Amino acid sequence: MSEPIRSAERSEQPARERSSYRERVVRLGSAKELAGILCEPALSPSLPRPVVVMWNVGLNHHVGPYRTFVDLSRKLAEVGFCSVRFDLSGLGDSEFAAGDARADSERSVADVRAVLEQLPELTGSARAVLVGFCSSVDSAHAAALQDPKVVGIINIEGYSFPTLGFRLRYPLRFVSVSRWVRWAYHRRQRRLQSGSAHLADDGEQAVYQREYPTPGRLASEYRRLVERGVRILCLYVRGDSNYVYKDQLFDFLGDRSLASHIEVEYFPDADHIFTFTKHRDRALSCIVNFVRERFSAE
Amino acid sequence: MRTFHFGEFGRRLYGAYTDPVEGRRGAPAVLLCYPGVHEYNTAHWAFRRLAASLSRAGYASLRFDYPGTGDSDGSVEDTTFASMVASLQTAARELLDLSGARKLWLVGLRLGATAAAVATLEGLEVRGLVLWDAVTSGESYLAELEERDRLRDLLFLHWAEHATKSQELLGYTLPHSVRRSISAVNLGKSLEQRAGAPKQVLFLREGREGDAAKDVELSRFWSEQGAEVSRHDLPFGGGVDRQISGNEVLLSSEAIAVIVETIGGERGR
Repeated sequence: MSEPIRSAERSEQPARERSSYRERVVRLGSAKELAGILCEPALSPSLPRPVVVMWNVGLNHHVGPYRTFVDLSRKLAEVGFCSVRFDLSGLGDSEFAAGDARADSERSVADVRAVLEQLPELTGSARAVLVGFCSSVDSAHAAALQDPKVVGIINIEGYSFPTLGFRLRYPLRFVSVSRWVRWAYHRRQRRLQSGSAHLADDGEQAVYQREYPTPGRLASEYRRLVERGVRILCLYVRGDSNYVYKDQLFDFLGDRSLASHIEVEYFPDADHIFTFTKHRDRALSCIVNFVRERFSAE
Repeated sequence: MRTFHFGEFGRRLYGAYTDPVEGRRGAPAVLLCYPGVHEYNTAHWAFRRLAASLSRAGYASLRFDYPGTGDSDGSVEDTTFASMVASLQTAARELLDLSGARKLWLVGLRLGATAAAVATLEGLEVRGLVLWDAVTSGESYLAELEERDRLRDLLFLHWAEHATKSQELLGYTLPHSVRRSISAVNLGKSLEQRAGAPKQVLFLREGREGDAAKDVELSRFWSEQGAEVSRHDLPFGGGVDRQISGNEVLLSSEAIAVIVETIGGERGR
């Protein structure tokens, strides 16, 4: 070593930082098997507010695609909200409980609920706003239905079904230059490559298969949440999705009355994981505004 | 596994320390160095698996996030190549302190491998070095990321917007200061420092021709310094059209097996 080893500052306690947030590592779950980060405002609000909770998107660990959840946590702290970002069992930096034979979907919901149980001890607040992003919308939705501590849900790229409005707008994609450029690229690639790529595609679909609720069941479940007073924000992108106009959600739910309780933000230029920073910044602003406006006064 | 923050207040780093399942007297500890910002998410799962494999083989390890990545303090503007090397040195001290080991191996992937090599050349005392697809030229690395960015924008239907982007690469802001720091990376030139040399160096390569040619120069250099140098070629992972979104997961069982075997091979020497 060029320098002598010195005793390093190693801490699970909050750091005295110059910034608007304080972060500390937390272990969650009944056996402390879940790894997470608690992010708090540097100056604690006088009243306990709901805590925003987020976890893995697919196999990504708890920082989220492009570090989205770290940025979101720190922006929420700026407006006075605590958040917890954590890894589900066996993902990211969380351990997998030996002998746990539950299905992934069941275990995910149990993990989320275990974290909710620990919020009062961690933050002084028992209420939570859940953030579901793509596949994690499944566990956010299920946990919200089961747990009355959930007072808000933010679904990013959640459930979507084609509607008449979708079919009427479908031909518009043929005037997109970007789609034609991509089509030409894929055509060229198919000529250059063998058929092995198709096998890989099939395998990928099998890995990412999810159990979707029917639109009818989803509408009924959203109604239950709304009647309980849960605030809901849904963010959708056009990108490659089947979601092509802002109010498509209410059309496939078949219930326009939900529009007064469920807020929708639509990003016609963004892709599924918000890879452009300008789209991501806008999405995070929408979420922070929603949380601040709907939950500051509680 | 133990997760924690360490380092200076305001510039804390996030680390995940894994104890060996069964400790061995005199065993080295292994510092795992992630790739840079743009390839970090992709590598997280593979590094976790590598840490678990090392643990089963009897080695402590530490994974850590560079400033501005993962759960460490800072934003992407803080992730210069110099800050990567400096944080690697901080993490090395942390690992030796935690594990009680006296010997250290560095395992780096892509730009993390380059940072590991530079830290060693600057004098960080290590027993062994694994350079997994090391970046040897910052200019070439950025050109590769830019090519991947163009393809990603094509596939994600952003073709029309691609030309309007500035200071952004593969979904992350890339300020001029960070770009300059990466452009300046030249592993061949860093050899002039010659402050330190490991006893053992393993090159893992996935078939990048330019970088592989540079490995020959690096191999010769470290051989002359008395290191035992070996090389292992990995199956070609698909070139520029892989890892387009920065959101995929790298799975490399062969690389993990070779790394664990190589570090384990020094036992009894």
